[in-house]
Amino acid sequence: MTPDLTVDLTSPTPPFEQIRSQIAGYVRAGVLAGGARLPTMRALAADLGVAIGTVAHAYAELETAGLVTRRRRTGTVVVARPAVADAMEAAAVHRSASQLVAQSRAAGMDGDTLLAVVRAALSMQPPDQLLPPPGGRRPPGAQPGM
Amino acid sequence: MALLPLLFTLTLAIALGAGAAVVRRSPPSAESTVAAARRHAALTSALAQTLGLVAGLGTATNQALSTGRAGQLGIAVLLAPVVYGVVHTAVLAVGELTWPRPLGAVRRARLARRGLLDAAPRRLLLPAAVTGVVAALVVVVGGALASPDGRSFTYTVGDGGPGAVSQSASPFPGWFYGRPAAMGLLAVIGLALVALWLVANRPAVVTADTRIEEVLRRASAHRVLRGALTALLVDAGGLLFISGQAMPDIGPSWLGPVSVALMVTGALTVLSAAVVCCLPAPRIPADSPAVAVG
Repeated sequence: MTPDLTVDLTSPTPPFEQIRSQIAGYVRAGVLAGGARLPTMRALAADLGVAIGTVAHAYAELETAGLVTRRRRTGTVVVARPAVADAMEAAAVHRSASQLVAQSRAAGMDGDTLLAVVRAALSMQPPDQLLPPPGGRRPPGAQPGM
Repeated sequence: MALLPLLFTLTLAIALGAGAAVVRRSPPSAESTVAAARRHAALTSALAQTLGLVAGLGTATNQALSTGRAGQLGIAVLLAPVVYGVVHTAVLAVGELTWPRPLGAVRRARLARRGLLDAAPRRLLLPAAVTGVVAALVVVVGGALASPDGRSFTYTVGDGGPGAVSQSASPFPGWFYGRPAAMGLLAVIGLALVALWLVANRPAVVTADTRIEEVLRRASAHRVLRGALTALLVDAGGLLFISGQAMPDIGPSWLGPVSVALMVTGALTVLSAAVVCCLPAPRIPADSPAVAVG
């Protein structure tokens, strides 16, 4: 089934963010599988009646988040999501996230700032560096408890 | 006289087109967006056919009436379908560029990728590819076999010394005819590819029934390919026909059947252009009962 994308021009959320969040949601939920090809920026912009730059902005954000990748011949393609190794590892990530939130609140940091910090950290590490090395449990350089 | 096959093909095409239009009609659409898109498509198609025919016939008439160098009439016959194809495809391309844009505060789109040829009907795409290859072969082989003047074919029996007999026939599709035909057909093919790209990238029609949007896009691609294929068929068929006509009587016995085969294939190819020209675009499906009147 091909998912739909809806953009409300009267919403306070900018159109690029609406596009980004919906595609990100589809990718995380597995509706868009790894290798699925997204529409060209021009075609999606024409269908939605928005500027090409708006779609380009959304696609760039998705690429920064490691959800899609741009290829010369095939265009924008969904990146295959690495399966979380096991429940214990997933739980450890959740615990680290909780600690990070507590730490940022203690430092007087608001939610938006914290998200920006996390995004910046993600953008500095390409998605392949986030994958655990073969046989390893933790990415190199990862801080304990983070 | 050279214009007669063209006029016959044109008359046949108009008769078949009128018949197809009467017999095959899509049911009306209740959705306003679909109705607007269909109006736009119908207007563009009618304009493309009219302007293409006027331009093609104008080119043929203008060239035929002007007194110029030998072979000009043959070039006029070859250029008329090319001009028709170029104008027809260009108008369709403009129609795709001006396709109705989505309106309203809430916009919806399917996250499906549309490739250049995804909407192109295979029943036209395959013949277009085959005809293009045939036209290229005829031009190249004709150019290689033609006499130095590029518009006749000379067959010599003997080694060229005393006692040798030669026979020349014209017109023959050498480079004199082949070069303008090849350039024109390349222009038609290039424009058709641009138009198909525009078809793939134009806004989707907002409708509750996704079948309608797909059929409207297929219909647009169908019209583009139909015009380009018509031009290709007329020119490829014409070149085949005159190459058969120019085969000599003095050659080996197998040249006779080859000559007839080339002429018959050429004539059938030109006649098939009249049929292709009138192939109706895919029918728009009837509104599903759940569709609200817009």
